[in-house]
Amino acid sequence: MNDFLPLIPAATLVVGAIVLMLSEVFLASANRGYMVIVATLTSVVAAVAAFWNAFEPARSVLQGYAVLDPFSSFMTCMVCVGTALSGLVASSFLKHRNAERGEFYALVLFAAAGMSLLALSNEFITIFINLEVLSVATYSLTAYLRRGGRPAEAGFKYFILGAFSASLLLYGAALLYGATGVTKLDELERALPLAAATQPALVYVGFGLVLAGFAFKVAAVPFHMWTPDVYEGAPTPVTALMSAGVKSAAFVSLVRVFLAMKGALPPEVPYLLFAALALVTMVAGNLLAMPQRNVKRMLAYSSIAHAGYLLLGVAALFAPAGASAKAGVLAVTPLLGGTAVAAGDVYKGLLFYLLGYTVTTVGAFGCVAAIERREDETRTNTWDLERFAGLAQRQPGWAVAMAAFMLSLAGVPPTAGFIGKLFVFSAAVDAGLIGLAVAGVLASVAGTYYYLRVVVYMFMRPSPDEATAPFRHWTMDVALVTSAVAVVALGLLPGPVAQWLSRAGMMFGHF
Amino acid sequence: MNSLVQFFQTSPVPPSNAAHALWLIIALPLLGAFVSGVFGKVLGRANTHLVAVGAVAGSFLLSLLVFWVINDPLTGYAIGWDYGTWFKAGSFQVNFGLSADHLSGSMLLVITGVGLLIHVYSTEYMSHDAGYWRFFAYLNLFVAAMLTLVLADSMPLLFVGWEGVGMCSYLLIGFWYDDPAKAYAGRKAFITNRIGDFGFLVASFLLVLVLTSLTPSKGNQVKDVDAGAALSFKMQQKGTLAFAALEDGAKALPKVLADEIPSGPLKGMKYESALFVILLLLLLGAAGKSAQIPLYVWLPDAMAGPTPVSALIHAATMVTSGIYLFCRLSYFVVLSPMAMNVIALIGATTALLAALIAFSQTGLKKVLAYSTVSQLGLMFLGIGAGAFWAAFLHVVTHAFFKACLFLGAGSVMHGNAEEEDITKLGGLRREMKATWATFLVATLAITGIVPLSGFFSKDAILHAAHTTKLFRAGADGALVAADGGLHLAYWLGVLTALCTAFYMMRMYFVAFEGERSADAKVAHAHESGPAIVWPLIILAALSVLAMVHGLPGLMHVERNGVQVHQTLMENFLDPVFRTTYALRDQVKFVQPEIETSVPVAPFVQAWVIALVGGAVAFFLYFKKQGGSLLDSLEPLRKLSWNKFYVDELYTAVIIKPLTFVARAAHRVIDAVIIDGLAVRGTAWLTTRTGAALRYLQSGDAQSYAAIMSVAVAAALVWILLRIA
Repeated sequence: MNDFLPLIPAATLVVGAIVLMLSEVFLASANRGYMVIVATLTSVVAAVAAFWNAFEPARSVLQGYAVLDPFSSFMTCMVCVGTALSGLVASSFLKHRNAERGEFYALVLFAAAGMSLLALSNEFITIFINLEVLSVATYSLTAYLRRGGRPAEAGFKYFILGAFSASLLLYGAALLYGATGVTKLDELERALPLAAATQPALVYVGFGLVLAGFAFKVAAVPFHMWTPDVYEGAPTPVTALMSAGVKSAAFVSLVRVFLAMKGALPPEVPYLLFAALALVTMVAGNLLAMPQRNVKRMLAYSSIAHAGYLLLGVAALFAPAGASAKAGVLAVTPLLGGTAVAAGDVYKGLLFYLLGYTVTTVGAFGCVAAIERREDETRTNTWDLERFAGLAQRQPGWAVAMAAFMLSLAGVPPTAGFIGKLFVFSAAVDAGLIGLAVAGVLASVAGTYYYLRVVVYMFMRPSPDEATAPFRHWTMDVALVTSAVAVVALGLLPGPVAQWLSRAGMMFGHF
Repeated sequence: MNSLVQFFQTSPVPPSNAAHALWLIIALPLLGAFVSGVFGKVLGRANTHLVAVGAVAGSFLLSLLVFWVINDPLTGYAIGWDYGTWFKAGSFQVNFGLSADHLSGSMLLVITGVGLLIHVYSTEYMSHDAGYWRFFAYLNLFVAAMLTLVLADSMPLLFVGWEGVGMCSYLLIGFWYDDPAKAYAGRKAFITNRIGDFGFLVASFLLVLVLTSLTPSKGNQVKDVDAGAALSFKMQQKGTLAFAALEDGAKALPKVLADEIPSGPLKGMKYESALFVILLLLLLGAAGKSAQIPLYVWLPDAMAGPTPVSALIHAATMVTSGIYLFCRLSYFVVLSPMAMNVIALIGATTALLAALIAFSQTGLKKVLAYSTVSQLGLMFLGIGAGAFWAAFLHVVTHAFFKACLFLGAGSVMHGNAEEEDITKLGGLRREMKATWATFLVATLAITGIVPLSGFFSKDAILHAAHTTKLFRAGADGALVAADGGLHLAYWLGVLTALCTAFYMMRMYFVAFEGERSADAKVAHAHESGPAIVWPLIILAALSVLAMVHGLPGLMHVERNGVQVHQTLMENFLDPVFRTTYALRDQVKFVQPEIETSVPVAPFVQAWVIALVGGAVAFFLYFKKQGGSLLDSLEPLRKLSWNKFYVDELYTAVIIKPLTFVARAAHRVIDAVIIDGLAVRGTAWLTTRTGAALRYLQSGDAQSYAAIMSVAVAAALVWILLRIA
């Protein structure tokens, strides 16, 4: 029975999804107000169950196909929080468009279940299936609103490119299976050193292809190009879910998979790959976001930049203990006299960053969704900065919340984004990645420009004359207030949460 | 009687409960500030008054309770609570701790008590102002900050309060910010205070270095291992800059005063010179807050704020925080006779200078402002003479009578269409009876007429300055007299007392006696309402009653086998200054006279001085005699009227050159190099790059897939080449 503990959150989500789907069929009343409550409650229950699991000792379950460790449990918890918030945002958004239906929430919950399962999968086939579970759900959510060409285009693009990258991942896993004969990660970890010695080409190519598959999911440059188009085309609440949930789950799985492969390869290979990915992702993400006047697209690019900061943390995990010369800005100069970086700090940093990013990004996309008007769906300037002009006079509460989210994304204290960046960057510096950390800080300085521009528009520009009163629904206010409070609270008092997250150092197999 | 004493010396609640709840005293006005600041406009005038006054009243009741608790001998006359580590960096640690002893307990009562009266007063005084909610929010915030300042049990937390009161003072001076002159006065106060804060901060840093060098550690041999270990323990337990740790640091100092600091950045400096520098820097900090030379110039201008603010912040509480700080750190002061000389001289010079400027001022509040500066100077003279209790007694009595004077001035302005030029008032005695009576009592108190409180506190300071002897350690360890500065300061102090009597009585005669001036704005003044009058009456009564604390010979204690006389306040503060007195008697740098009987002659002398000063004013301004004498003194009057041109001097010597350098730097470095090249250049470059990269983002799924494939292929080729 204990083996099924880690499945409880996912099972809860699936049950909730089925209930919602069936209710759409059998309770065909016009009033669907209960749906958002069911969806939110389901997510919250799942979050609580996951939080509970985080205090279980780390162990392998279900015959080694999955693990129960604080790292994945916390991740699941965050995904569920993100899902609950996105669900609240979606309710208001869909109600405004007369599009609130059970299958939407069901798909959201299925996606969340996929993320939760992905976080704890410890075997390649399981990983692939769960990745597809969440991907298929998000593909269809992207095209959920069928008005106009934009959602369909986005959904189709996402589907094609997603399938392409999934095939890369699957192919890489197959090559690794060919080299070692196993698919479970812990067995792979034992078998890989021998295989790397005998069949290096197979192992390395497999490694590279798996990395490419994950890089697509976390939207690392140059596998990022789908992101702005899909994020812009998808209904805004779905975008929130994608940037908060999908990315987080993919990161957890990525860390798990590559830690298993770490021992078999020369240390600088994975490090250099991750470091290079981090560097180009951070720089390109920020540079691309800069000229954007479209706030939704800007946030999409910003999510790429944030993936870069997270990759910086991942690179710190793979930093070789000795100094490696001639790598330029990627050079490792250990400050701590060559001692290995405390992996626990990196896990904690990644989780805190993801938590902060989840609440911030859901809130930010929530604000975008809140001021988005139904009439604008087909226009090109739907999300133009102009739409935010004078928001502080029209909707002071929303403007303040949006300002908090922007500051958090920019990494300004006292917000969750600042603390997350602090944890990740300091872990990177401890690991000796000074050049990379400096590049990251510089990139985030450049990022401040486009985040603050939104604040400037909201507070210092006059309201356009044709501005109409936005559609208000209590769910939106609940979501925005919750995320804004969480962003500031995590920034002011990171202590307790950081304390919990430091349990993530007990990641299964990699204490 | 005994049972009554017993009753008041028994804590009504368990002391630890009271200690744990100390934060509530601060939290109440903070909450009040939040409510009136955020919801005040919505709540309306009456509700805001209720919230603001209620918050301070609650704080006052709690302070009374705390005061009662710390009178219990079982508490050791002090309670405190450590709420845990606030922040920590390496071995430097700061705890969030609050504590109340007799010193901070008395301050608590003054702040919340006088504060409450002034809040009540303000409800009527500000009754026509549209910004009432802002006013009460700031005022409550000020009370909270001031309470933090006195309740803090470490330098960093005290500094939080210190900055908080500075900020509130700035906000309230510039309360009517649409008048540029008033906004400027606010900025002037703030910037001047920041100069003082610089001294405070540097002093704190130096204290950390000095204390750390006293603790035994690897590579640091200390002379007094036991004291060093005790200090080290306290620093870890309570925080590096906790007052408990500083006290232990002071205890470790006497044995090493003439030694060189063995380690750290201050290596090679003598402990006594380090201590001297620290005290001077603290004096700079205190000079900023408490308006002493050279930083006193902001206080007179601070009268731009509403009058209740002048009464609460710029007379009763905030400006005395410098004296409070030195009382807190008195254990360092008695170890440095040179610093004491400097403190006494600065205080006395300020006192006299301000008194001379007050001679010719015609603004009601201006005179009071300079008189505040002058009285604060006297308090510093008390610190310099080692009579900490006397300085603090003057803080308390001054809080009562000066608040009464300011509020009286406010009442006068309220009833005379905001007229504050005393030459355009006159004859108020008949028109504003209550204001007149209370104002007269407070004037007599500050003048130093027996038996009002001001007489005793001022005289205690001057007496201590007269009789205390200062010594310093000579080359061979013998004590050498070093009280030249203090002696000079004493005479300056006596002169100040004479001047005080003169200018206060001058103001009183011109404004309240005689005929109503022909230039008056309104023909007849009207008396203010009860919310203004009652605080005046209570404060006037307190100005009289507070003399109990200063009555000589009330308490008898045995000290070193000799029966000595003490005043109530001195006796009351004994537990606070336990370490100070122990150190004083150990190093013998400060040798006060031992009072075995009550000396009468100094009292007579002080009384005569006050009478003479008052009499001169009486003849000049009431009897209008000696007009020719006044005319011949016209150049001197002009000098005093122009405040000895100190502001102009500062403008010419400091502000103008600074502005010039700043302008030049702005034009060249900022506008051209930073803005032009660095900022615009970088921004241009990055946006261009971003815009160029955008062309890759074609929106075409096939090209996306192609780019991905190329990237994968490149990575694979790189890897394969690497292993091949």
